Amino acid sequence: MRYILLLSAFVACGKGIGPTPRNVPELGAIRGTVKFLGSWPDSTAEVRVAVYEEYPPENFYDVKAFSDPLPVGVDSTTYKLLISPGTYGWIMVAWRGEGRFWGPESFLGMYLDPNDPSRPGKVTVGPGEEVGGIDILADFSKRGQLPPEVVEALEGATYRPAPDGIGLGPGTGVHRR
Amino acid sequence: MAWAQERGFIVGRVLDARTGEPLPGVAVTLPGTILGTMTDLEGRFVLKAPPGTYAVEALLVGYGPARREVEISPGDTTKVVLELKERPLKLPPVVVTATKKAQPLREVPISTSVVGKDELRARPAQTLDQVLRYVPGVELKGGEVGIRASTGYSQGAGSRVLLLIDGAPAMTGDTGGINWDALPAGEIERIEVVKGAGSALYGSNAMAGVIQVFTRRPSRTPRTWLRTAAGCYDRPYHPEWRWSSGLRTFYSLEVGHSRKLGPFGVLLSGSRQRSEGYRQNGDYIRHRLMGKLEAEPIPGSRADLTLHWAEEDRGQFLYWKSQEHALEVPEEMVGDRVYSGKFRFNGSFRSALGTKLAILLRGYAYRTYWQNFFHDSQDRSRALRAGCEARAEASLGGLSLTAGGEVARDGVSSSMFGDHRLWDVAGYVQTEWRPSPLTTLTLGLRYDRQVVDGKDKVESQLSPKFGATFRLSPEMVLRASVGRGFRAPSVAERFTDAYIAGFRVVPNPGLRPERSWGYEVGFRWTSGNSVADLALFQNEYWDLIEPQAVPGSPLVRMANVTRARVRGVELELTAGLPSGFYGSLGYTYIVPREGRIRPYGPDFLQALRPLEDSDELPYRPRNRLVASVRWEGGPFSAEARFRYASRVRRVKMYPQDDRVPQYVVDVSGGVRLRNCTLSFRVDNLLQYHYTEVERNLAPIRSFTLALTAEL
Repeated sequence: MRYILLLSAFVACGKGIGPTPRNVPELGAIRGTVKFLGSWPDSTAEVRVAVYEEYPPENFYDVKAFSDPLPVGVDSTTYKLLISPGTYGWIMVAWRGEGRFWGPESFLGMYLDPNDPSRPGKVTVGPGEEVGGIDILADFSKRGQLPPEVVEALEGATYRPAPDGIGLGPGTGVHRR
Repeated sequence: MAWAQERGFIVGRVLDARTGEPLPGVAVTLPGTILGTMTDLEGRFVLKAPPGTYAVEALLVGYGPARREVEISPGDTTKVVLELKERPLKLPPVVVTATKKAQPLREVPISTSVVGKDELRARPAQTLDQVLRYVPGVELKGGEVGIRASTGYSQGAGSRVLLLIDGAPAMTGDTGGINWDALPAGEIERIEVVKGAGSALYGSNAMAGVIQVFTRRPSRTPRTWLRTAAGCYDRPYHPEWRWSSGLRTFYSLEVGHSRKLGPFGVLLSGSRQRSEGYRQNGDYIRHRLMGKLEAEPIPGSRADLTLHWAEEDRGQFLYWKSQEHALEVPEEMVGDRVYSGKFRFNGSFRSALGTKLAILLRGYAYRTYWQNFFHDSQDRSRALRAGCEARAEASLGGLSLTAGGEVARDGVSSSMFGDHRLWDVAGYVQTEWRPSPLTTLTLGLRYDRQVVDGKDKVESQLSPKFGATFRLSPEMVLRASVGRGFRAPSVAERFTDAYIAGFRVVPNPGLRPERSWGYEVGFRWTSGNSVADLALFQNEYWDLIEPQAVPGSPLVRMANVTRARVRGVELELTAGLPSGFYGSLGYTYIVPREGRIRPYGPDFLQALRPLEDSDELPYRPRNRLVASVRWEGGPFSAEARFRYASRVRRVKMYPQDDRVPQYVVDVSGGVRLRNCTLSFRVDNLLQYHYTEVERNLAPIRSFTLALTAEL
């Protein structure tokens, strides 16, 4: 017992979790400008940039990264989103109204391939790399008008719970494992 | 009436052989009959029995047994004094939770741990969950309790462990959870923890085990006590986490009085606790009142009535602002609060009808109310669970039989769950047979039927169990048990209808109960002042409930999802050491897996099938160790406790967050001066920082000074 206490004193004092996360992988980032067209609905709750690995996504809720909420009511805004290194096929802006949930009808606009504006742009981010110029046009008049490929991919798809940040959080009263 | 006229009385007293002091709470039985009672605070007892020669046996934690032969004549009173000799080893010899009847611990076929009054006295706690953290195999994650990895992480969505207070269920009617703050921590006499599926006796929630709390009995001589404690949390070890300019303080005050009032024993107590909390939104104020009335309407019978009221006003800490600000909540949540109130009633009557038959009648009600005062919601819920139980115990030679029935009703009215009514009806029978003096076999079966909202949903469950003990020698006992467990979904799981973080959680009235089978073999060795208990166990789980997206829509609902298997081994050692030292150690190693198994016959046979596509069950540490050393010398006492849990291998919500093992040391000491005890306690002495619930830092180091006075 004495040795257990001594050992615990040795390994434990003031240790454990600290203010600086240790497990964070070296992240990259994407940044750009979102320009809003049309008038903001009064019922707006929030607008965010969502990043998907694949285009078209098989699961609308399989979001790899979700930005902090963007300012509401502005004509344009800049954003920066930390993200794990990798290649991302679809970067879009999503809107949600008060008392409503995220869904396909949230779509406002997406990042387009600079060389072929009819296609979504693909972005590759390396560790510690910050990729700029990921600008997106978000048009409220076209809200919910998903590209046909996305509509086709989502037809009959099984939705899964959303990942960290937009799913059920601790203390919501309904989470169990 | 003829029966009553033929009987004689045994009137007795149980004393400490060394000091001559009367001993309260001693189990006094006539072995071979169902007759038995407990001594009052003056050590007195009365038993009524037919003429004949009997052995009177007295058993108490921390003392060796005492036995005297007495002869009873019709209408006569036989007096007897039993003296118990203190044993250095504080062992609880008798438990009641495992089989719903008093039984020596060595004859119980399933792992059972007991926290006796000595441990409770040495570890004065504000809430019961602080005590349970040091019971081997028991895990606390925030307010959620699990046994042997039954529960990963849930938040107000049902418990896989059943909590009983003096025999009555204490689960809330809406969320099916446990309100630890509502329990009278200062009035607890003993806690029993049965590990393994127990639905064959207790029905829903007893899926992984049962925790039963026994509160103190009233005294017959006037007795008044006062307990007060005050302290503060240390500053956080890391300067970056210092969010408050001053020390965060807490205090508690409890007063109580107990006496005989006419034919009744009466106990009244009340308490107030206030804490500023070690983190933002961590403050609370609690008030509690308890009254207990006890009487012996006729010799050999006992009636009691307990009323308990509690309220709490506390801040709500859902998750931290960031790891850099781990003791603060996100700005929008500052000021979020929860108010809750609880009222509990429990009344029982027990009487012996001859030497071979006893009956018990019980009624209980548990009313809860809570309201959130959050920045984004004002949800509230009101629930009432009320029920009654009738039980008979019979002893027929080498065979004993326990049979009973229960009815309970839940009524819930909530802005989050809606308005619902549930009825539970159950019947159970258990038989214990001794084919030889060395062997005890137990068979049990319980049928539960639940009706939800009229006849909208009806669920039936049949829960069998089998247990056996075999005494290899006076010191060694082998045991084995197999039992089924289940948990009916709570109203919250079935009917939650709310927007959460932009998603809509919708009801799922079609939820099925979670099911389990538990298998265990164990070995118990007692020698002199030492006890070793080893258990090998395997628990199979079906249909564990968790959130799931509704196919083809962006909705979330609770669903039966997970098939899991938990295998493990548990070792519990207790030893009385020279010079007033006591030591204990509990180690649990588990392999928690989830996966799928090809259907193969009935549930209980699937334990033999391999688990395919398996993965680690999230939120379960594989290794847990608890250890303590206690010393008592004259008026002085001291204790050091240590608990360890290994780093969890898998989490679901924030897999990239830091995860660390737990190393926690608590120390305490005290001195007894006449009728007063002055004690101090340092919790989390090493100021070790860890999380039990994701993004919730566990309590930092705190210092407590406490005074208990008997007037």
